[in-house]
Amino acid sequence: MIKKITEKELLVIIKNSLEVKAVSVNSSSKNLKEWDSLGQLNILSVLDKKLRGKLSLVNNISKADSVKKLIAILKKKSLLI
Amino acid sequence: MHLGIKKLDYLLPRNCKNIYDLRLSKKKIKKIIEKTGIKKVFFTKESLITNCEKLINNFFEKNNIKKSRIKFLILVTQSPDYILPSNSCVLQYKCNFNNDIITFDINQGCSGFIYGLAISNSIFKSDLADEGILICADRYSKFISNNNISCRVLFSDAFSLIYLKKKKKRTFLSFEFGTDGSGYKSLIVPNKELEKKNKIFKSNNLFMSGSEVFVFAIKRVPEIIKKILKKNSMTSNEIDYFLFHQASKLVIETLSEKMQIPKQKILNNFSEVGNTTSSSIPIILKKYQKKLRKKKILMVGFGVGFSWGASIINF
Repeated sequence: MIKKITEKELLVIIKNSLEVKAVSVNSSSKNLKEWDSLGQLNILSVLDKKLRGKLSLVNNISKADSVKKLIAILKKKSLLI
Repeated sequence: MHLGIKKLDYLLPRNCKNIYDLRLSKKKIKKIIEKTGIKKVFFTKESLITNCEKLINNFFEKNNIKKSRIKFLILVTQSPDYILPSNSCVLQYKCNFNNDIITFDINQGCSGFIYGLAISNSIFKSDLADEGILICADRYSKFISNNNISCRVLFSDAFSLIYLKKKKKRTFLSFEFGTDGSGYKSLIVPNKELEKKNKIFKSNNLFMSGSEVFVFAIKRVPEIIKKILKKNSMTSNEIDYFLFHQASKLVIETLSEKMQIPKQKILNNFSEVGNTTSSSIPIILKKYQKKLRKKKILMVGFGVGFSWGASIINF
């Protein structure tokens, strides 16, 4: 069974990975200084765990540096409800 | 006749940069160390050939081995002193090896050690030599500017030597390799002429997209492990130790979790020496030589290219 996450869960993952107080759908590497290359790595590693190792099957996920892009990519792969 | 690792040695430069000394906030440094696991990196201003010369001459003197026995010298490097000639030719001359020797360079990074071993294996099987040396050497520091923090906190210059000898008993059970050149821009020293239009590459500085390398690693490394185990009708339980290229703590921890490998089966050294590219596995082999004796080891090199390779060995 494929593990899926919700948009709310995704926001929590990003918030915790970046160690920031809050994130919104408009958050990205452009408006959050914590969302740097290390922050991006944190998000990806936690997402991979949550998705039970399915992350590497998602094309262009490494380039998704905003909440909107992550949502779009994960939805396309039916990994986001 | 088969490939056997007889001895190993390595050289780390004297210059060492402590990550705590970087002009970054304490919080940032803490985060870097937490994720990379690397506390210091080594660098040298001396040429690659000078460092290799030191390593080779010291090794032969210390072990009292005649250089005339060596019939091949393979140099794995991506930071050669010369584009041409082959740097291994220069080493043959500078280190006074005989002329009846095969020499060539291999342009591979973190998978280069596995490549070097597989090719050495073929040389032995072809009866071209009984003894040879494989040198893994890189000076990535020459491609890393002071502002390039993401690479500065990761890569160390390092030079390693693997003395190989023909053996009757088969110690290397298998090799596997893979390539995905679509990732060539994810870890690259750009060619200024070719990349003029690409705004990402502002100089011939080493460029790394950590997230792309990470996603590559967590996809390809588990795949190749499964493939090589299947090929040898083995399970991961039959492997005593897993030696991964020391990319970073995050990569290795993610891989071990994904593959459900017990922590005690994974040997690391990134915290002491950083990411030493093609030398990372040889340095671990040297460090844990006694512990690894007569053990079944699965080694995986992966990185720049993207390129990856694995081997199972009875050490």
